[in-house]
Amino acid sequence: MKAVVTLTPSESKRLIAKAVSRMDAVRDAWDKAYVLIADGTTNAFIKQELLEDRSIAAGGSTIGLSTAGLLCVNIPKNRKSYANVFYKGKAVEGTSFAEALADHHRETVVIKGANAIDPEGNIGIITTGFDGGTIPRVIGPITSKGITFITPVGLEKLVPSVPLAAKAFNGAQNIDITMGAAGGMFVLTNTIVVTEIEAAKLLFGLEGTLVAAGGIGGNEGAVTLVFNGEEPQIEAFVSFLEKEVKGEPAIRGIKGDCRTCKYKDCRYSGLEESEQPDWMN
Amino acid sequence: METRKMLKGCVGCKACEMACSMHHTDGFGFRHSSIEIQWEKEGYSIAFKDPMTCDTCEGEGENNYQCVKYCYRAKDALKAFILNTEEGGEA
Repeated sequence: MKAVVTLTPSESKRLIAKAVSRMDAVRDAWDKAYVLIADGTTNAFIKQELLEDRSIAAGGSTIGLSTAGLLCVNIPKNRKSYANVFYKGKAVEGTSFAEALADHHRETVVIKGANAIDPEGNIGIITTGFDGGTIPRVIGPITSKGITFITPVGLEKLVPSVPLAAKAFNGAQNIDITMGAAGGMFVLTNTIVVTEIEAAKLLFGLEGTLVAAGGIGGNEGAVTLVFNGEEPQIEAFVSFLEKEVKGEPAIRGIKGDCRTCKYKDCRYSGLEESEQPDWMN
Repeated sequence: METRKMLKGCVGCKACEMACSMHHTDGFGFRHSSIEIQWEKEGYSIAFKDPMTCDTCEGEGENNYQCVKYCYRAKDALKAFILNTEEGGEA
């Protein structure tokens, strides 16, 4: 049996979050070890699912974000503070990712989203932070110890080649004009990627294909997928989407404050609101 | 009295309930299923609904339990539940 479904970016995040929160590796880590969940909107949905708490605000759960027509960075006072480190299912305050990884448990899982994925499964993570952000803090122990690293990422972020994208970016000092924060891109090649296709496979055993993307009237960034499976699985999947995924509201992006922004490379850094272009607000 | 058992490996997709409803009615609808999957803190559990309507898929062929056939993640535990054998624990 075949089903065609269209998912908006938020609906995709919800589906992916439901799948990741049910993965054997994540459930094992939740019971016995650490689950380290980096900031990000898809990860906020994962926290909602693991903690059964929809009050965790996705829009405030990210530092770097693509919003208001820019690659932006929101200001600290607009960021919501939710735990990132969980040990045996409980939030642990005051423990860094590095400290949690040093307290080695075989079942520990790290979950971090991405800004780009390519058809080879390479993951791209933009970094405009002055110290490289999350990846430098975790990549050493993850790589040397083989810690499970899960990348939940929607297919709206599919690009032709992540390595080429990383070379094109090449870091802030090599960019002449930027609409937004300038930076570079990490390329990761061996994470466990969970897109909408893997989510449907994990939950329902379906085989999925991305067939179209984009739209208007709220379908900006939407993806259309074809799924194949046995009749009861397809029926259960569609029922699941209708009950638990469809209608997920769009996430409100909270733009940074250009007037005080420390990303001086940005074309709009330092501009008062009256000087900022109309399309930005 | 409903007896729930934890279903090891279940992710709550409910394909089993759909398959069960298809067996009974040739259509799809959770309310026609003889079994019910439910989320617990520790994972997913299963119980037969009351009144008991499970006929172990009579007419589908020997040992061809439709719920087990279409289960992607927890076949062994589900089969054990249907056959009332040891795999899986009490909820």
